[in-house]
Amino acid sequence: MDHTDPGFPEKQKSGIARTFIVYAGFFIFFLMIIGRMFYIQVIQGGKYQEAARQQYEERLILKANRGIIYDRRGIPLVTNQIQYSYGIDPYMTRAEEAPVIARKFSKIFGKSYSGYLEKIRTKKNFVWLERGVTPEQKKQLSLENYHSIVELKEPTRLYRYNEKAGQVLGFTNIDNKGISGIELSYDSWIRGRDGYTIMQRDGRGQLIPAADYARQDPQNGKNVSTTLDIVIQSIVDEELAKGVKEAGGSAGIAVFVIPQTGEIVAMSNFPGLDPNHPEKADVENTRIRAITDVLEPGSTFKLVTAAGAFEYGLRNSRDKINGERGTWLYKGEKVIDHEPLGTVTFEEGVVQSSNVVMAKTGLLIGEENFYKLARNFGFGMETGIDIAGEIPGTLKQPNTWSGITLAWMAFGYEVLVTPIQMMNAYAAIANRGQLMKPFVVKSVFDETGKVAFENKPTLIRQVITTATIDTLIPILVKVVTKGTAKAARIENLQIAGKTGTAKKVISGKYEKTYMASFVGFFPADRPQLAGIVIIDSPEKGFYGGAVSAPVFGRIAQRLMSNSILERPAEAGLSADSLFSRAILPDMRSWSAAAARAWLEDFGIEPDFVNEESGFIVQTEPAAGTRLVPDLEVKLVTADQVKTTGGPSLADLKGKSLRQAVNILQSQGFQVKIQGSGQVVKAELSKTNSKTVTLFGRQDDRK
Amino acid sequence: MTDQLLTSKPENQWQQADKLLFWAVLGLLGFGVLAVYSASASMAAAKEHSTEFYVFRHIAKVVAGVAVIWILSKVDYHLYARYSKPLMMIAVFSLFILLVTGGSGEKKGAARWFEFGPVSFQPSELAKWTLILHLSVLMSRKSELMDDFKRGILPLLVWIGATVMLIALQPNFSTAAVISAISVLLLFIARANLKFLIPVGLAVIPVAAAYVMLSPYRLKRITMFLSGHETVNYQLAQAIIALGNGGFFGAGIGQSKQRDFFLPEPFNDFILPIIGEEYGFIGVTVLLSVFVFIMIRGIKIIKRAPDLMGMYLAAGIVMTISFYAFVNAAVTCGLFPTTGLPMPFISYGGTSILFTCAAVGILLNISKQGTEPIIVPDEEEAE
Repeated sequence: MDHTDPGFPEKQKSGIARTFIVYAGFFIFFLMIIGRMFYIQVIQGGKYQEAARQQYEERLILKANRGIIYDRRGIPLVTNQIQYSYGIDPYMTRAEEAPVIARKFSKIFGKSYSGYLEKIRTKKNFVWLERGVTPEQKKQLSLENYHSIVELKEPTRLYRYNEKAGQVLGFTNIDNKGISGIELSYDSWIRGRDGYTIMQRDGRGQLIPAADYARQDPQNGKNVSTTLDIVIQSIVDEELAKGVKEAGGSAGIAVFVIPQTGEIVAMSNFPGLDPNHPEKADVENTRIRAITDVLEPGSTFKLVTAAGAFEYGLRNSRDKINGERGTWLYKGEKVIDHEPLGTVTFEEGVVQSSNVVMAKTGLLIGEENFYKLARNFGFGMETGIDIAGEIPGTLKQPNTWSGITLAWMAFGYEVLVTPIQMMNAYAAIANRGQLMKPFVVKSVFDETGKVAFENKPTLIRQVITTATIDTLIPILVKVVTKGTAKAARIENLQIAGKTGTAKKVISGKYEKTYMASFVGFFPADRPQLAGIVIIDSPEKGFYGGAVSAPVFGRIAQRLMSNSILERPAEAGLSADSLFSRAILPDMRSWSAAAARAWLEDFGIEPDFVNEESGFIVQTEPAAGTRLVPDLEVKLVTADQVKTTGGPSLADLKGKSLRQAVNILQSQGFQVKIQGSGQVVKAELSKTNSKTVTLFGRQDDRK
Repeated sequence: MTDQLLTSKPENQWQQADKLLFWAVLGLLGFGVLAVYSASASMAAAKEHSTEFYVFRHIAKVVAGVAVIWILSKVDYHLYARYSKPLMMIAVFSLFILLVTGGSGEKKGAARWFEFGPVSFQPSELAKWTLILHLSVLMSRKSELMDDFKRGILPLLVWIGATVMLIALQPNFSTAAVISAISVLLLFIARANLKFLIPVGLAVIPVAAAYVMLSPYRLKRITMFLSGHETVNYQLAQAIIALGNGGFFGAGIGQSKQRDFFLPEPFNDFILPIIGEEYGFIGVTVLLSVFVFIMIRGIKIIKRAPDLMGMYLAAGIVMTISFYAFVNAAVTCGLFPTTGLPMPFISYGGTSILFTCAAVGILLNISKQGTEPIIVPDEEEAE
């Protein structure tokens, strides 16, 4: 090597030395970077991984549907619907938008335009405009273009018959959890379990389906078949309401049961409760008063005395008893009849509801036997009905009785009962002495019809012998034909029953007002229904015979004359009538619009879990599910079918037809072409999600 | 005057080029293709309807780059000494033209490149490498004058000053700063007397400060960085999330989430966070270590360089490559304020990858002509 520079070795040496100095600096720089990377990636890694997940993961809750509640014939009483709530951010609302929005709301909800305008112009960050908006109303509102509008979607219960059986069906809270009635008592069955799906989101906010993420399908709640009969319930509701109004009463209670099984077919409370709007109701009216209210029953309780007299062989229908002209002094206390009687037969005493005759008979039965029989009829304890809130009433132990308790209890005082207990006792008479456990839910079954839980008729006990029944029923029939309950009498139908005038007891204190009741069953010879009708605080005559008996009679008449009870039983709930043969197709990659159109043809309103746009990536239930009326179909959409594919139709605009066809065919789409030249419009077929029609610009040379 | 300073062996006597260096660079280029593909697929799909849109263009440049390496490794580097001055003038002139015409590419309000049809050309890239070449040539010629400010240092400073100023006025502060730094380091290695170098370095500070102050956005950037609030910068925040999301071992190839429109420029200047996300701390460490490895190969080439021009040129090239890599890494992890410097061989880039490959080709040629260090005269190779 020829070095013309004699100083080269020296210069090279110092140059290399200086290079090492520079290198040292570089290496320190390198170590600082590695240290910093270690800090970010390893020490703080967890924190940033969480931050990343929050950015790219979106957890969509797939709400489980609550089960449908059917009546005994398979008519849906309670289904689900989607409701929307609308709020607005007044600060985000442009001045010219406010009147438009206010006008839209005013038009749909019929409230004042200026009221909405005032709300929209409130100096707040958020104001509710309207809640509980139905899907139809939402469609009419068409608020998609207003960014200041906040839309919340909530699954809610739809109580299809509003106030009919409202209290028994109960209602749910804002979280769709049952908080009263059947909705509460069977909540664990009806509720189901929410699922979720995790979607990946990109920096533009677009959702990408993430196949490898965990997902949990929602488990829909089980359906409930009740013992209620919506037709009977409607009739009972109507007649009760009419009766309460006619009597000027404050409230009414009516319950009807099939005596042989204990199935409650109607349970009415007046005033009613519309579970669709429980917030509008008086709290008083949300109670199922038949199981929560106690009253001192009065004459209806004489059933125990009469039954005891025969059961223990102490009296005969024809036995003569001194009615004491309406007033009998016992241990210094007066027993008074409102209809003074002389010496009458025992039967006459029952038919005329004589307190004197009953007091004397009670004393004859004796404390222990009387108490035992009252217990056997189910007084002083819950009937065991399958809805929450039942109270036992009060039947005191004989050792706590005073000297006159027995005599007074014999005509219905010093004992506290619930309407359902009283009805059930009479139902036992109708059922040849067999006391049944009342219930309102027959079965719980899943979407395929498989029964998960069943309430079978349950015999509590044989209360009295059939011999006693045979003696007792004709007497109860005479109560209606010529006794205190003549007002319940109807042609061609024998009703057996008893009137009563109960004292209201609230918090252990007697109220000054009375409750008029009638309890009985019909037809007397072959009982089909037993029931009780109570009218609270009637102004026009407070005797049960005058007020409640006619209501009971009218209900019986309507049911029998229209052969309602003779309808073929168990008409509903058969696989053929409830479930059609259509199945849910695989909607993945369908456009949101195509999926909606398909479902709407079956009368199904789709529930879009996130946006109603883009493509379907998941359906709930899955493809292949048989369609049933009221099937809730949840659709999860994404803006792209998959990360790398999925032409956005808008992006095809302006491309040449040939380019557009290539792009679409590479994505597996069938392409139809109209026109030529550049693409001006691309449309996904409404019926076939794999067909796209391209519209080209017309050829100008023609 | 020129030829006598330059020595060269006939090509057939050259040794093998530094193979390890070549494989390291090839490895980086190959890895870059993988990284660009992963980082660009989402955006390519969204914008161009093809996930491969960007990576195909990148591959084309990588192939061209490898060809450039191969060709230039065969060209005797002494040849450039003859053309360094005209090249330098062309570079400065193109920077000037860019400044006057505004160029054709606008990026955040700064004109930085020309576009000729599909080819874009970044004059600052040409200027950077030409300056290193020209400085190496001048410094080897003036190796006796490095203590003489007027005759030795000043001419160098004129070229440096002209280049840096024109780039700074684009405005492209970061490139100007990095070129200044590399130039000063090169002067240092070329034994420029420290009594000149230190005042020059100090003189730059007020100029740079004034330059920063004059621009609100630069001032904001610097003050934000100094006050530790750099993370309010969305891009950096996303970069750090990407790095952290990778953790120690990484999320796996193609598993980046941040590339999906969270991290801006995920396949250009901010490709390292995506690599960090997919390959983890391990991946980042290995990648940056490759640049340390290039430095190690570089010191060998520098030691064995047959003459001062080869030595300075090799030092300039190696420093530039690793300095770019480290500054890019430092920016993405928030050690440096955000600048627009690419990761050499990795980032999807226009001109930069070709110029860097050209530099590697030159470096390989220097290595081919290498001798044993002449520090021990006995080992000097005989003709």
